[in-house]
Amino acid sequence: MAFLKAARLVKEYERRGKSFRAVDDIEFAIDKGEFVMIEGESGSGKTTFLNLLTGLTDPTSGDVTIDGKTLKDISDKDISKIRNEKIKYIPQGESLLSALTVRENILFPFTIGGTKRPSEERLLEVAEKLGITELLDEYPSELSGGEMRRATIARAVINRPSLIIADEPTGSLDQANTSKVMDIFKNIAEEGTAVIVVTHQKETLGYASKVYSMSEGKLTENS
Amino acid sequence: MSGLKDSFRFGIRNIRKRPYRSFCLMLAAVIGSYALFVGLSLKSSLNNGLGRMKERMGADLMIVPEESEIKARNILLTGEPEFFYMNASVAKAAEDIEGVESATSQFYFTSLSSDCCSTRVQLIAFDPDTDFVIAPWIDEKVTSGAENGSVIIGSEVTPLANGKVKFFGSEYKVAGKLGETATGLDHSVFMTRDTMHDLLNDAKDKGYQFLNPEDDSSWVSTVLIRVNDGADITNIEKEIYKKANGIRFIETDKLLSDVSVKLGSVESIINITLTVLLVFSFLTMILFFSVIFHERKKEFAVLRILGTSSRRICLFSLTEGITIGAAGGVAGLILGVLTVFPFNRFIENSLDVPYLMPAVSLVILYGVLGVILTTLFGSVSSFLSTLSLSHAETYYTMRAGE
Amino acid sequence: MSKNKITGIVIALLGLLTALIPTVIFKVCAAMDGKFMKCHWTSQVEVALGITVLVLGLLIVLAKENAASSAYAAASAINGVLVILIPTVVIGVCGSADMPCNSGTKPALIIAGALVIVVALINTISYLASKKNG
Repeated sequence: MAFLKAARLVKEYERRGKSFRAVDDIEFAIDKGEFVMIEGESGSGKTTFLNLLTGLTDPTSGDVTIDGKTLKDISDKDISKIRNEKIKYIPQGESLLSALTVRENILFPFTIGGTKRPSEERLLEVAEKLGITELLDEYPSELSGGEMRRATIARAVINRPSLIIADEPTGSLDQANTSKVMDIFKNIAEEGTAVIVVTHQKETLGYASKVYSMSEGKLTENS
Repeated sequence: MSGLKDSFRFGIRNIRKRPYRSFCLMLAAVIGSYALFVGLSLKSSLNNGLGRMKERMGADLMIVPEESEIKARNILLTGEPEFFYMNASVAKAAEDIEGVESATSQFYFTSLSSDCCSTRVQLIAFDPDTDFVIAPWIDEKVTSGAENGSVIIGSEVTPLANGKVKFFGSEYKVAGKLGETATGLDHSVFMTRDTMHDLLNDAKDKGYQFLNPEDDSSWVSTVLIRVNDGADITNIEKEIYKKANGIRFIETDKLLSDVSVKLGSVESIINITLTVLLVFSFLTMILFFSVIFHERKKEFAVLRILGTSSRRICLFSLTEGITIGAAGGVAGLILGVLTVFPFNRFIENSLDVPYLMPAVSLVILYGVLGVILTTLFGSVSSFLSTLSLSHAETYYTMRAGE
Repeated sequence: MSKNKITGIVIALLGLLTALIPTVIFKVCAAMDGKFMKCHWTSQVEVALGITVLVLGLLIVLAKENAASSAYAAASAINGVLVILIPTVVIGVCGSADMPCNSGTKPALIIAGALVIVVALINTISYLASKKNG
């Protein structure tokens, strides 16, 4: 059985008195080690779809099942635990906590979860790979956009999660940084993590093992 | 579970990372706790003062010369030095009247103000044989009592460095000190008529004459009367009027009720100010926390994404609220202590109503109350700001603004 | 804002307060019968001390080097001690506890002086500590 599975997933919103479907009857599944990319225009429902997959938003109908657990059947606390340990979500834009240093940001999920911290070697290894070793004791306000993005990725990959979901991770990056980031995702997938990357940059799609298109709430697999 | 410790540390980090915002919030807490502490301390000092005054007003009725009622009230209420005289025969008139339990006379005069750095003090001569107003309240007996040549001082009179007091160039031993009465008597100095006689002679030598010392025994300033239980005071007044002319009466009950009225108005000013400040403090905190919350929606969304449960986010926010409320509360309390204690005498002299600090334990209680209250303000307002977190959609804010 | 700016401004304001206490806020008595009383002389000295502290506070803000700032802070702490000693030991105020100089001016000056000392020491000590830690 797939690690993450979405069945008949629907999310309806009201806008100016009319309801519309941001996510319209989606079937989706991903297994560990798979690298899936989803492309689509902005406003096509990608971010809503990711929020449903991670349990941040409740679906209007349909189910999301992660590691055999159906999200609507478990408590907020348990969903939070899954997000804390198994699924790492890299949202669009900046998502570092401004009161903490880069190092503290990377280790913060372990503080929340009360789980065992990774070793200093692992931290330095990841930081090295992402080129942020020098920045570990800086505050996010002192970082450039690309550095922040890499710090966020470090936070996501450090404990080798089962699934990484990234929303437009290369959005504001130049060519060199884009391929650096995509290489990292590819490596992680090869190490056995399931990876979902949402993008509107068609040139990055080549990294994926499977590509989907999203349009007006519908998800279709590209052949 | 280290959750509490971690959320505390995270809360502190957030407070320190945003000093201006935290300062404003803390200021609101400072105002709340300061207002509560100072307000309650003042109120309780006023009530304590009135209570003590009631308890220590030994006489039920005072006879004073015509047109001296105001002066007599000043002596009793504020300790403002005054003097006035009437014929000593009035004292006799008060005796032998049905309903009068005891009567004693007193003689008022004042010290000089031109002595360097000393204010005028009310000097009161009393008759130890008939006295029932002074002697019961002698707290500290330095010698055996009011002997001739020594004086008894009110609780707020400060003797010279050598322990004596000086009037008209002569020094007098302090034989005892009165307990606090919250009346003007706290600022007065008491002596026998013989000592008074010496003082009046000294005063005359210095060129100040209240009365001719030769015949001072034929004058009194007031006659204090205690009546039997259930005696008709109006009737007693009528009987005395029949025997003496040019006199007026001050009834203690009437005096106290006047003081109560005045105190009531001071108290209602305190109440209004206190309420306004507390409401201000609370509203400011609620407002600030909800503004902060909106600013921080993104931060909360990040926390959610990283797997923080909504309970945990409430806990983070609550930690900030409690820390700020408690820290501000303690700071306000320190300010309050620095107001109420060092300026005790200044407040007392400014308010012009009986004022007496209550027991320290009560004041400590007010301080604790103030800190608890602002901590509560902090926790309630931070909690209210996170209430909307229970709607899951609120987290879904990362998209907006990006 | 840096620590020097904050402490310097606070110290300068406290200096101003010190000068205002005996002259405006808790005004001491005027001369009586042509004679000046103790409180008058205390007031004169406190105004001078207050202005000194005010200037030192501004110097803390304006100094280019941390070492200079912390030296000015130490100097204002000593002035703070004097602010307290003048009305209590050195000159004193009037004898009667009910006089405004005794019930208002003196405690206010003691508090102002104590605050100057506390804020100034925070500056100096944090400088010394940072020097020690490299």
